[in-house]
Amino acid sequence: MIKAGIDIGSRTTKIILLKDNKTIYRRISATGWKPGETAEKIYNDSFIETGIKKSEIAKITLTGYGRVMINFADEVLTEITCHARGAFFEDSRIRTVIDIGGQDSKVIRIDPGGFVEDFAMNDRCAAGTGKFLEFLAHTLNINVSEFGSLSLESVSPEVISSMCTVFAESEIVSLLAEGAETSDLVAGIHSAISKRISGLVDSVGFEDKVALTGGVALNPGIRNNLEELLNTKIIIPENPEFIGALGAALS
Amino acid sequence: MKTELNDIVYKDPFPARIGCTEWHNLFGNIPDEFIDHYRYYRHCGKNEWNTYLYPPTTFLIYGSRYLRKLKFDNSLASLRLWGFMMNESERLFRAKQSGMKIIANMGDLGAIPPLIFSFKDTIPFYPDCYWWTPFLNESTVLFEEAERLGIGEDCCFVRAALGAYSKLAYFPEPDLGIVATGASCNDMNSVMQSINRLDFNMHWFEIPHRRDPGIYDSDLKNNERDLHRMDYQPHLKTFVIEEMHNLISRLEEVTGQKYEPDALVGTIKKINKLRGLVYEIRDIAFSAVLCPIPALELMNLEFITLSAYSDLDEAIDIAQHLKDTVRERVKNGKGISDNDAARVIWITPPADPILLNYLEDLGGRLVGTEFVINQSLRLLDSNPDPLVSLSDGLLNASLIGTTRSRTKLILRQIEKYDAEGIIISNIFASSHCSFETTLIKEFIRENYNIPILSFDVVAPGKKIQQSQILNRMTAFIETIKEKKRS
Repeated sequence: MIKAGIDIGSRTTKIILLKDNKTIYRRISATGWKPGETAEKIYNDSFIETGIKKSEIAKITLTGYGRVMINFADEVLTEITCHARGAFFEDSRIRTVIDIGGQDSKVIRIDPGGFVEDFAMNDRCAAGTGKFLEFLAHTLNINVSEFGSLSLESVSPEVISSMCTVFAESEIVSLLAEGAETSDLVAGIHSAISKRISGLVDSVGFEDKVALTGGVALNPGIRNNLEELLNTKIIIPENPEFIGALGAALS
Repeated sequence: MKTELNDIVYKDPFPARIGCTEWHNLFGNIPDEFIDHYRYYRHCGKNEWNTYLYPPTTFLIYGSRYLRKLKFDNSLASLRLWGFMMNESERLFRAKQSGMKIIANMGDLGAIPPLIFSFKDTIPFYPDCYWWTPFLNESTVLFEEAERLGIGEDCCFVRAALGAYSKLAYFPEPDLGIVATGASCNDMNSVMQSINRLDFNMHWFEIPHRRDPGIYDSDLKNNERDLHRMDYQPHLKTFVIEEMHNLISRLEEVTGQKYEPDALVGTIKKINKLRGLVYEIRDIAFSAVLCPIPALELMNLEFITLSAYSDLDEAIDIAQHLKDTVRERVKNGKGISDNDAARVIWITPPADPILLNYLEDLGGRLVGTEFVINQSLRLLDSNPDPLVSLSDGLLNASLIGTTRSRTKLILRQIEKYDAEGIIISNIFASSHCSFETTLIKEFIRENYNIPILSFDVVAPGKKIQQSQILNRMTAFIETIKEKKRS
């Protein structure tokens, strides 16, 4: 039996095809301005690339912020449920999932059966999200994919006190004018986000083991900061950006 | 539910939540005799102006545009409640025209209106409640007016009351404003001080902080007495009675009448009738297998206990009608929720009413509230001195004590109504929400391992952010349901 899970995030759309709970196909694509069309394309492309027929798909489950824009799903679930399910499937020791998404960040506490016990999300703005990193990377004229490794080169991280994206940018511009090292600024940005995330972890109640999912999980700077703040080793699942889609496909 | 009036019968359709247009169409089936019968200020006789049974579209036309986005219960009793509530502005102007005295109450949350009602032709109302107006009107006019007067976005939505006071477009100039100081919330205090600067006739009423009562603090979680009762240090009552006497002098001056303890005893009986009905409706609704009445109507009903929407007799009649409706629905196994609806307690009233609609849209139901007016849900004691009863009522207020005591109200409801989740809708920029939410979560978690969702409700017109709340509520209900299945 083949099942499809599609995670339509604010920045990227991911698809996973599972056959007997084993991933047989995965693809990621920029969501762009037309999430519905992107999801449909990525879904149709999967048949071209795998040779699987649509009729072979037993169930399609959608998640992510764009999930309500599509009408071909059998089930629609929130990212909270899907990230918990996907992370727990990858490692059943996991009790806390941190997902730093493009538009929001979430911390999910899961019970020993893999069900969501509680969750918290960032309050109301880009603070503590992937978008915050992306925006500030742009300010510093650095590719966001290099951000994590650059932060590791920092000798003396700067303190970025503003979590408002616009104010943080002003702060960074001022620090640059004062001659701050780029790597120290980047490390400061990572530290600011991580502190915010650790606050969210506290609000749902920390429980080991902790997994970091979503694209930001590939950033070693964030991982290191969170490990330090939470005083625990963080598990990064294989292909962390696909965990939401995996959870959807598992439903 | 069949409602009979002089041999004319109106039968409610199968219980459902319907939109504005559907109510408009359904309204056509309601016999004229009913429209003619339901009147506010009945003591004024049958006038061309005192009917209030209208479909929500009526109030939409008069400015409450948000109503077109809401879902309403389809019973006649609920329509009465909506019409009565939405008609309060008009009612206050009519009261003034008819020579009644209008007394504005702010910050006391239900403690003082019984005293005001005991004076003949004198009615209380709450400018605080105009905080819903910007949402219902999809307009920021009242906020802009408040900002012009010095209270901006760093104060909670209750600043709309300042705008409403300044414009006097939603209520006539009150003969007296009673404003609570002391243990009332900081935002409300700053709003009231700004209103005071506008040169209205005001009386400051001091509410003492209910300190941790120590030896008087029994284990309220398992307390069998009553769901909404708080314990306090007895000497506080003496202070409040003194404040009541000061207020009485001022009310005598404004109304030209003498305070009559017997009249107050009579009013307390009526207030208790209303509170008793509301308590029973909530208890029936929260205990029933299928929820017989939507969360939004339950909130409107709860707020009727504050000042009876400035007409006590009609408020009692409406509450009785609603109780009959709810009881009938439960008896017939009918309701507006699913069998497996997630049982949720809601803390702090949502400034945006659509959030209560979302609860049921997503598969939840209400089984308890702490809308900061729990004290108005419990009956006043029948002490021979009615001022003692009123003071006791005031000292039971949920917001004047510690967060731990407020949480006890929530814990009791979790236990009694088997709640499966808690939603805390913070009032953006509200002083008490900013520190209380974390503590409430912590205190609940000491006792129950149930999901708690908290979020800030944003100002009207910010649809994108409200949709983020919808996403969180979806995940929250999903979580509860998954947990149930597991």
